[in-house]
Amino acid sequence: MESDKLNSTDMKSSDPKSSDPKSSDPESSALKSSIQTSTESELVPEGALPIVLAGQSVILLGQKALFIPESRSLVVADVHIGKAASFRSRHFFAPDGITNFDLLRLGQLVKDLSASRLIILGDLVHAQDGMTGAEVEVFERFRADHESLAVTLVLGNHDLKVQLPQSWQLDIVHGHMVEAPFVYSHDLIKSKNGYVLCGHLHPSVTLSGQGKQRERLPCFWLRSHYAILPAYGVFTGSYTIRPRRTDRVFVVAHDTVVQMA
Amino acid sequence: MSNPQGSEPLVDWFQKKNWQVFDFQKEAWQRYLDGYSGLIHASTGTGKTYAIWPAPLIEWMSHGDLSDMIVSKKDTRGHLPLTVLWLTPLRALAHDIASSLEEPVRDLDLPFTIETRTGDTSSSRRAKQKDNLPSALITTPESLSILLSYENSAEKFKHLKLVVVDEWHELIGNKRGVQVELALARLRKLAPDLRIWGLSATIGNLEQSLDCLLGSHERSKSGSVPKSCIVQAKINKEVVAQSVLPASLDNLPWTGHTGLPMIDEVIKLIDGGRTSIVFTNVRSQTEQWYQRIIEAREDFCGVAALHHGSLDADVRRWVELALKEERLKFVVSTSSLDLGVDFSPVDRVVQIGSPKGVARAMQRAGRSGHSPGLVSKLYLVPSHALELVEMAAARIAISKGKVESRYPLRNSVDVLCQHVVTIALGTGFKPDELYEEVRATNAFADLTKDDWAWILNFVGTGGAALKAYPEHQRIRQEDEVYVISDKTLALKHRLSIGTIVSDQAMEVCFTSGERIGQVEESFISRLKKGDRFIFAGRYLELVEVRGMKARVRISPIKSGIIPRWMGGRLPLSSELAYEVRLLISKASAGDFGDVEMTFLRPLLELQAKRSSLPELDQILVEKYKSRDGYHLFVYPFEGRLVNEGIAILVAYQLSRISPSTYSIAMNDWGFEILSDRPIPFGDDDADAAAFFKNFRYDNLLEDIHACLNSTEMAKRQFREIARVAGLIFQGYPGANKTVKQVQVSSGLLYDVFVDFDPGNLLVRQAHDEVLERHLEISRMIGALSRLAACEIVEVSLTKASPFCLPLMVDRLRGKLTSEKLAQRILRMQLDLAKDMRR
Repeated sequence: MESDKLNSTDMKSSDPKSSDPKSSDPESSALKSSIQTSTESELVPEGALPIVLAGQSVILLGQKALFIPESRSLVVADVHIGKAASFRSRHFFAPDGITNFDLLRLGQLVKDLSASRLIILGDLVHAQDGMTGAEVEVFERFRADHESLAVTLVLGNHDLKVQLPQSWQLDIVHGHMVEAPFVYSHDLIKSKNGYVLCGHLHPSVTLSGQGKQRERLPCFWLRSHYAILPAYGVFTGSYTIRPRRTDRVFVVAHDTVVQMA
Repeated sequence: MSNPQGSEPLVDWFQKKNWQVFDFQKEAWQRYLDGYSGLIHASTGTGKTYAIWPAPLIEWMSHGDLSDMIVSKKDTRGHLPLTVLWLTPLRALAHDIASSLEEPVRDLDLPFTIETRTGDTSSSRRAKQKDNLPSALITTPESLSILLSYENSAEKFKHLKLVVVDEWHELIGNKRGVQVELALARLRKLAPDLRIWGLSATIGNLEQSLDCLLGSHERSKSGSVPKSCIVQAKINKEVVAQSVLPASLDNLPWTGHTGLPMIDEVIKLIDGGRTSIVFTNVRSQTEQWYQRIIEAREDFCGVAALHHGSLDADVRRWVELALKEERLKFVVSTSSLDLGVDFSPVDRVVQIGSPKGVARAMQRAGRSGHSPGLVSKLYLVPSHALELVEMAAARIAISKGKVESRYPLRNSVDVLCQHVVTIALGTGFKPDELYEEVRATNAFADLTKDDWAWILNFVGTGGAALKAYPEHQRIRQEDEVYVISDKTLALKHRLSIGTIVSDQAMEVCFTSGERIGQVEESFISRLKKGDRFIFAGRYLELVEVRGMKARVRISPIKSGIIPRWMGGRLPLSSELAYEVRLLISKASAGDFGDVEMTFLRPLLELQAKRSSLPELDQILVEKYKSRDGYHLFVYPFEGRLVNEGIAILVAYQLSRISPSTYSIAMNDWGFEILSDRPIPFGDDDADAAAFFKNFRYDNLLEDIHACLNSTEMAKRQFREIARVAGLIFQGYPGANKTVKQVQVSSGLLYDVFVDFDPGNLLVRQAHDEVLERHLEISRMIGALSRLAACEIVEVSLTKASPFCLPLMVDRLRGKLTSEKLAQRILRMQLDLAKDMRR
């Protein structure tokens, strides 16, 4: 795995205009060893890319999540807990262990970044028939492991059809949530109250190159008034977008975020 | 040969018809009456049907009074219970077979009823058959599986005496064959007195195909002598094959697959015969050819038709009937008319593009001159210039009678998973008993207990065997018998029975409701209202899409796009590949004796000038730099599947020299490895020849497995497996929305299985299938040692050679990389929205 990752230093040197990091953050001394110092002394996890969004410094993570250092908020979209179990309930075999894997990775991020808050941009769960005892328990364990973490769920279309367990201790938001400079939503909405961060689409892009090379990869899709996050869950598909030249697109290549010119 | 006892009424009947009873027919009757199962080897049009059909009639007549056997007093006199099951791989054949079977029954006034049951049978007829099956039923492997999924299947099949597997050579070697093997094992269980007879055209391995048909059942029965035999017709059909040459070599493109530049020649062929079938290799080509011929010759309107599997059943039936009654001058068709049907008026067959195999060429040729004693005429029309070499090879191989073998598949877990659910719906099963039953087939003779436990778990016994998945339980245990009683599940399963994988189809009909046929959903979804397309030989305009129906009307404007249907490309058989190498080698020595080679001489000489013509003991390697990047072309002539395997191995070893990414294309002659940077062949100035000389195949097995993991080949293969095993539900006709929540791409499933379910047998099957088809170890060793033993002729091209051009333009590509993804994509660009491109 390690060898697949690129040093963030390389990434930045390849893309000088990608970020405007501010001076070192006092809290960052708490960060773990997996976090390296970039040339410009911003503390960024391996494979991640710091950028400025709506005037705010954020970090795009190779784990298909976004981190806002100022509020120590970790933002993810479209986790789809229980999708495999739901398939099994409908008599389509799918393996076990996916939810566990997704939440272990999420827990690691929370720890590594010392996040105090997790904001989920909808579709935390997949369907009611996927809410088996085992699946519910996996999230309960995640909560128990991160007791001080506040978890906010902006409801998505899948969440609306599911009875969310009390034991998950979620701060539920219907529709959208405004916290300047951002508006958090599941669906893409138009808002005058800020820059919209949303999910739902599961965006990916196709890349092509010399020698008839082609690649299709999940991405962060950034436009003037909104950003759409890639789906976080491993067992989720994606939708191929065709960006415009003026869009900013950051693809996730294995665990590394790369800005496409 | 003397007439079998009791056969007199049938022999008389033959004589009244002025037909000769052939010895092989009498032999088969006798063997059947003696309790044998077997295989009848006869070319089409030599009386195969009557080699076996009279046997159960004779048997019944010599039994004396069996009036207590008569069922269904509803019709005036009643009829025998289901006694004969006739399996045909093509539903188009069913009606034809039915009328052949009916003739003697009607004339001799026997209490046999004969019906068909295929995907084309009306639902009211099928509902009637649920309660009352005829004495003889003609059906397809898929429809038989559906019958086995009904609860009363044990009762239905218990009087069965004979199963005929028509065109067995077409089924062996693919998953439908495996499906048939499993169904036969079941029928043997239900009908102890059963005899199984296969009808087969020539293939290279008849003995093996007989063993595969019968399984080990005969041998295991109390150790008695296996009662099986092969009956040889000894009537050889004469096939005359001829390549069609245009007026000038310049009329033929260097690459391409439509063959349309040859239209004038094809029209001349149609004019010169009584009735012709024009075969193409894919459905879209059928539409193109039909359209272009009609446009060129308006007088053909009304006497021309097209035929392919996506057309509505009524349309197809009309075409078949019109062909038989000589109302048509020609039909353009795909393999949907490959087999069996007796179209007596047809006196010539035109094949567009390379037939790719000797058996296939002879099969298609056999559509003409169908009656005993007549000659089959096959005209081979090239779609690009070098294809003429393959046509010469086919012509030579036909005259030598070198027909390919077809090897039965083993351990197709996906088909078995489907079968287990079918049986759970039908009679239900006890795991140990079904295990033994399944192991009696050739396909699953080696199935281990562990694998069986995995399969039971997978199909949803709720984790009785391995890991517990309480929510995944569709098969429940009742009194030691595993059953499914859920009606919705039953319906879903029956809708997805079968092993032919295609994309979700959408019905195309006129606004009046009249059905035209089916087109893949992915094609329709790209169309907007008012867009025009060509289908069923007509220009259509999309009116609306509602549910899974696309409503259309005839467009007054004569233009439109043609749907593409899924479908693999057939690889050149190794028999033909060898003939091709031989012809090229002869040409390199200046021998252009065959007509095709004489015609191609200027092009082959250009190949020799720009590059080289390899001799038998040489391998040609070409290097070329173009706008696309750096190309390496290698020509092993092993057929596209094996060429792909070699290409992957070569790319793998190249990628270990330095981190790089290779795009791979292959055809039947060779392969291309393409890179965006110069390809390093070793230390500094090592050339390709040195690389191939030093090619390491001591670690071949390891390398092959490394390749499997670093390419998309297994994932690609998994697509079909996931559908057959029931992992992916295609949806009900018309009820698409509810399905969305359980729709997932087979690629994503493959990834999560690899990561989260290491023992998954379907993933293993995907690997095994790739190993068998593309990377078969013995063929790899053979091909690579030939590579090592041969002289490597290395040429740096300054202009593209005739050999390499078809590879360069091929868009169907594989990939192999040893570079870090994040590094590699830095050299790539985003595919932008269309209006933003310059």
